[in-house]
Amino acid sequence: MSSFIEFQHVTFAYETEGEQPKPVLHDFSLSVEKGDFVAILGHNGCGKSTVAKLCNGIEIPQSGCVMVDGLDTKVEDNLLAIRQRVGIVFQNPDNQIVATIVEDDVAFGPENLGVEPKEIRRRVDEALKDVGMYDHRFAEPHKLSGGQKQRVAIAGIIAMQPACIVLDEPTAMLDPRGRKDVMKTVQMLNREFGITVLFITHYMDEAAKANRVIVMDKGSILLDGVPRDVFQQCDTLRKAGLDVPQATSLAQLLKQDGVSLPGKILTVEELAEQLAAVLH
Amino acid sequence: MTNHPILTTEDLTYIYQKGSKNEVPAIQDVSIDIMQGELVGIIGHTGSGKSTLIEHFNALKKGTSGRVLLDGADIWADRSKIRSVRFHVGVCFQYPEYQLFEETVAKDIAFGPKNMGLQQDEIDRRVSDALSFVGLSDAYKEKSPFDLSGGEKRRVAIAGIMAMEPQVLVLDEPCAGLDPRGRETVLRMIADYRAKTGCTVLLVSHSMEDVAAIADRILVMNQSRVAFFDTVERVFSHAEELQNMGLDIPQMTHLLLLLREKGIDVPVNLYTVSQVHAMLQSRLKGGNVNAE
Repeated sequence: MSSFIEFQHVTFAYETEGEQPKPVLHDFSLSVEKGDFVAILGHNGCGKSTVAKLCNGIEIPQSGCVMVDGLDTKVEDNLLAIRQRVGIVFQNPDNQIVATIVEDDVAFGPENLGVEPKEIRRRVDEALKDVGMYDHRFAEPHKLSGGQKQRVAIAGIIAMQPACIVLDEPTAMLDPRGRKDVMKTVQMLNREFGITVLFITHYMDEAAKANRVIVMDKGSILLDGVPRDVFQQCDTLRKAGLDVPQATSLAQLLKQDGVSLPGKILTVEELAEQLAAVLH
Repeated sequence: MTNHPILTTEDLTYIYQKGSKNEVPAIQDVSIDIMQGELVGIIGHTGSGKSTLIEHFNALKKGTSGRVLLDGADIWADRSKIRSVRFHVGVCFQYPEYQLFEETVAKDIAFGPKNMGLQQDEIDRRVSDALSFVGLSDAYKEKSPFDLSGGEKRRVAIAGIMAMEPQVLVLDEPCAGLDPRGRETVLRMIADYRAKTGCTVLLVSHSMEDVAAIADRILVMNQSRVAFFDTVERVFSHAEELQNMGLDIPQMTHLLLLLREKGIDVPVNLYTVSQVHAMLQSRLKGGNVNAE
């Protein structure tokens, strides 16, 4: 695997009129491998959404650089190529749907890229099938549930055939069922099509499904590793204002009591398995 | 909490597109008593009827059949008094921060009380009280609501409803979209408000864990009907049925269900890490431990 998105010593601050710019990221470096599924976890205001916007040149670093597939986001001539490679899905599904019919909305992206009509037709159908929304292709987006709208937004991105999708809290406004559907869709895109995924969330159960979890706090990386290792750091996570997996938390309490529970427990299922052996 | 019902529904039914071929029942035969001073969690997945139900509580919808009683009186008995029903039952909808519109936080919070025709000094008192209920200092009064963080905006919007000092405060998903810290702040704020004012609070949520943390009773809606309306513990003793309704049960309750499946006799009405930890500790001390 090679690096697809590379943050090199990025510093970034939002400019507000008449005020000192607040630094959001300071000397931030991160490398995302091609085909990887990386979750970024952090509380509101930790800088994770800024990372998303830096990924396809919506924001440009004040110092350092962001490289996408070898292209520097600072170079304006690179932007079209970068945005073909990296698509972003935002939190609020209502803010990113532009058309009055589902399939028109999905066609919006490839149309703007100048794709042939025949090819657009094929891509729209494929994309809608991929996210499980093909049966709703003639529906009016405002009549869909939040989770369905979010899957339409994802279809709009994959119709542009990007190598990488960045999702900025795509499930924050959804109900439990909608959250599961979106999560499954994203996992499938990563597994079946090898699309690189950068998944920003504050739900630890979603981050646990990634290959790699990065925990951010105050604009820098606090923890970085496979979910099983990262989520053992209960105290650090709590200090960063995040939830910890309750199974891990209970397992650690029981271990302190002297109960033998070998290994790093992450899920409720794993804990049930081990506890059953102890309790029988 | 008292034994005096503040809000009652009697066989309340609401059917969308009544009389057409496409009749859709949103709520059916809902009969519940909500007691004065109680904090009730309302749970159900999208489409279960919970939003339609709360729209009946302040007369935004009128049941196709059945009645809604506020403090014993039918809210639709005198149509000219409907406006006052809306002052007594304050509903804070999802993402209320999108409804902020005034130049300053104080003016925005004062909007409701002003419409009630209150005196200026009474309005000022209510604005200050409401701000303190949501944990914001008086320094926020003159700020523009649009300069606040998402979580602060949410709290200002909730304060706007609290300032009307309704007998019943209804909050639809007040924690939606907030991070864990923001969620905790808002939940604590709601529990404090209830404790200080003795007001009745209805909290609509997708999250069983959030509701379990602060509610006295839980109303579970499923397919437009009341599935359960009971104390938190008794509702969670039906964990399996809740799961079958497609609801997310608390992680700890899920753990206990899995242990039961493996033939271990544990109660399933516990839902926090500390409850389950205490239960397991006493069991393990009781000599049930597999000697190692």
